[in-house]
Amino acid sequence: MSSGDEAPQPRPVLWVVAAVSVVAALLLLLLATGKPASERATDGRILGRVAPLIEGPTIDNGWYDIDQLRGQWVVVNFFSTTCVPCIREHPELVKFDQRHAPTGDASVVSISFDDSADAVIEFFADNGGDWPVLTENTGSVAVNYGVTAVPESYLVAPSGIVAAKLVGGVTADDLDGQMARLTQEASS
Amino acid sequence: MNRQMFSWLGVLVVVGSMLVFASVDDGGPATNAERAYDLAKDFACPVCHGQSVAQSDVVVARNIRREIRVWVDEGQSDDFIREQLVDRFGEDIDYTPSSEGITSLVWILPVVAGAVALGGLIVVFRRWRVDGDVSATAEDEELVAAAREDQ
Repeated sequence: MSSGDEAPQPRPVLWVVAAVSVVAALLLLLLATGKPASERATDGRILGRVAPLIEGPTIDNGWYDIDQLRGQWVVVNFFSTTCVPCIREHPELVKFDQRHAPTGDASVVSISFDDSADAVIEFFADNGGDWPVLTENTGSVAVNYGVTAVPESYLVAPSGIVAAKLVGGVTADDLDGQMARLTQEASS
Repeated sequence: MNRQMFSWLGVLVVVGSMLVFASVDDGGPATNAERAYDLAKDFACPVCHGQSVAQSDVVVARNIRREIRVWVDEGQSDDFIREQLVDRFGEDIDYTPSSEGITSLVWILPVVAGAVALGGLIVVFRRWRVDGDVSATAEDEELVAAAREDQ
């Protein structure tokens, strides 16, 4: 029998190269289709959990404790006086607060993100807003909520559970829409 | 023991010593501030590209640094701090990936790749050794014997 009739020898090296190539391709696919780390960090990990404690002095020398507000919706708003989207959303928060003040079914609390108390007091004097604002130890609160940038708001349900996360500014109608949707979901 | 074996033994001793020196504990951080800084280096700034919490000066990094310091001062363990930050900002914040789930591949794949490479080297070396074996045929021995007789 001539050598040309012999069955081809198995090529283990080729199989190894093929297997490694497939694994490398799958890893590349995984990396290419995944969300960037910066976006994954802003995912709402806190949703569905009990709202982290927000307690402390307010800029009008009052005392705030979110746990005292069980039974109503709370909009926890992280903001900065120097952030343009925060300035833009502020009138919407004023509108939302005024809309719900008579019924008392929803309220707002603002947490400053790296601002001095004086700057925050001046901001509210200029732009309105008559709800509790915290400026002390707010870094810890921001870490507990997983806040990476402002404006960022969390809608805390009457049960005390964080029901929604809103990134990049809110409107009064958006907030009411979210509350209506979440109420309907909870009742169905 | 031949010279080649001595060479391999030397390589083994050098590599082993380096591994031991690299893994020896340096006594750990001396103060809470040092421990907090060491921990901050282990976490990625959630909104930065390629900067750790220790390096970045954005607000969220500063907040996390402050919170780490609070936990350290409270006497919390490194594992507790790691869990808290991963819980709030996700697995991506941790430069030391978990050994569970899909991230375990980060630990497993290099070991598998190393084992495969080592196996491959052993196979190749053995094949070379087999190919390199030369044995004299009867014809060769006759030639040598004839040459000796001629001398």
